[in-house]
Amino acid sequence: MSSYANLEAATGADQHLNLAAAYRQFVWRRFACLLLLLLGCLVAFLVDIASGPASLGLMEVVQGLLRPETLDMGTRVIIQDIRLPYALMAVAVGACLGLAGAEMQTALNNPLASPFTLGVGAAATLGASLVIAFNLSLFGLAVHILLPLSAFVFAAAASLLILALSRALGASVHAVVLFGIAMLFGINALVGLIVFMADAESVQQIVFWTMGSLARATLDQVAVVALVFACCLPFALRNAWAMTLLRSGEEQARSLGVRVESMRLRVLLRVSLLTAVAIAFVGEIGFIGLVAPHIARMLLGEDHRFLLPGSALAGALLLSLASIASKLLVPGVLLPVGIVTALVGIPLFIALILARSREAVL
Amino acid sequence: MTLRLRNLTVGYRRQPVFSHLSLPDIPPGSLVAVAGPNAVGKSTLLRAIAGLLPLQGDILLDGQALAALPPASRRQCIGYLPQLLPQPVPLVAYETVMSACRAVGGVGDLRPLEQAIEQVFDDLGIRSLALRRLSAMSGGQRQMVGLAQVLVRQPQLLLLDEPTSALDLHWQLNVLNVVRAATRRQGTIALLASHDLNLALRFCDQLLVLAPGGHAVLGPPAEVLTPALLSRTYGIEGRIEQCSLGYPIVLADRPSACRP
Repeated sequence: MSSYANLEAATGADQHLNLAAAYRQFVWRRFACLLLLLLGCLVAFLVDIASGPASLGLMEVVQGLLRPETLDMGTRVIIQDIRLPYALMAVAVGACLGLAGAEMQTALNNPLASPFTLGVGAAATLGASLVIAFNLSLFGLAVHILLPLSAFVFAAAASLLILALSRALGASVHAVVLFGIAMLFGINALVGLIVFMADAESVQQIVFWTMGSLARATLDQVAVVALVFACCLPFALRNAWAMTLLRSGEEQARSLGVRVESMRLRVLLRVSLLTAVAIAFVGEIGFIGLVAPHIARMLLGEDHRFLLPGSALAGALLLSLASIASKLLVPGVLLPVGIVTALVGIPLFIALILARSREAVL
Repeated sequence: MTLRLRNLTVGYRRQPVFSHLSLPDIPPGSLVAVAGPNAVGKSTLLRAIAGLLPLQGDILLDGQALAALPPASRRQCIGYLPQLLPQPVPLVAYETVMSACRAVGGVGDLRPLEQAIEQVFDDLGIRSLALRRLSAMSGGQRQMVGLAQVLVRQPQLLLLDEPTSALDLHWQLNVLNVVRAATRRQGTIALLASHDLNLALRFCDQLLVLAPGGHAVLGPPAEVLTPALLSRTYGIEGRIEQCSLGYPIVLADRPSACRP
């Protein structure tokens, strides 16, 4: 029986039960669920470091992270220089995309919304493709800086365009989603055009970008992604109650003083920042932003104090699992993580939906 | 605390629904039923008073213009229940009500808020729903949770748009008893838009009938309601009689020859 069902039974059976106490108990269960997700992320992170061509034990990994001087040079290099940035990037990118997806779904009141379904991710790809295909250099910036910068600028521009169009035409959230989807197709056509015009080496790089890969991660890049996440999360959490109220009804939220348009603008800005920075370094990883919020919602409900961090953790967990699978599915071959994400995430997602519907039937 | 509506012009995209609408003052503790045919502007009027639509004119609560109030005071004064029910999402009722109090501006001590929530669940008789998800509730149950979101803050002005549209007879009476009690106990003014004239007449002190063309008439039901008004407003031939408990009831006989 779920925690919901337990508590419903409790309030139904004992009419004099203190509601506040029952709700606090309920909140503690959610908190425990959040901790379990965190634990899952930690385990997946360690397994991610342990897995690979040179197989390591979990204790060896822990030792390598806490007391690296006790390991031989070869193992230390594998753990610290190769696998740690890779595994950390999976956690950071997954968390960014999970948080971005949850915020977007709530702000647009649409369970199908994600940074990718609305074209924000595709816009980042367009920005990256332009830099790759035309070998652009701006203000003397190196490609490894210009590429993520360009991805970010295009993602932010796409978000603002969606918002400006919907505001100008007084459109509803449904129209925002339709604008986003139209833009997704438009941008994909432009990326196709660039691919058509680019030379073979650029095409290969663009295709590699769209498959998503953690292999290029460095600790500096991880620090940038983690910093952006750490900056965005408190701002997202500051709105947690307003977003919770928004989920129950927009009109009610407006009448209670929630400035919904302004909140949407801030959410879209945060989403573009999180998405662009996350995928700037690893390429397109599209599935997380859509599914992680749903997994978090199934486990934690709609209280955004839990849903937002829960969605970030679910994203981190999914991408870590995908990273592990990308190394293990075909021995000796490192598959692009963007492809594996969907392969790992979909069965997990379907299992959760089935478990949920079975619970509803019982 | 008196509500005064003066010279109100409200509309959508330069299409006015009301032009220069003025009404007699509404005294404290009044429950005003807002009636009228479909699309006449009942919801528009409530939304405009709630600050959700731009308007010209003055809305004065106890002599103070609502538009001039700081947003926090305005929120405190007004409780608006939209026609749309709360969405069937996996939010439990308790936190749905709590979010209405915590969404904007912090709350210091949680205890008074918890007591207020507990009280409103008891008043409405929905204690057993407190920890149930909205997604697992019927439309009527969600409507009750929406009402709890509004009543928990004890606003001075209640604007309820079809608050009983999804409720059975038991809960209709229950809700209107709670609203009636709030107006009597706290001097709250409640404006209640409804298509159920007989239910509204049973509880209201005053009846505001909005007629096509932006016309409005406000007064005690016995004075306002006439067969001629029913014909003019709703396009029906009907009678106003008194039930054994002393309440006026409307009996609709047939549609009149011409629709207003």
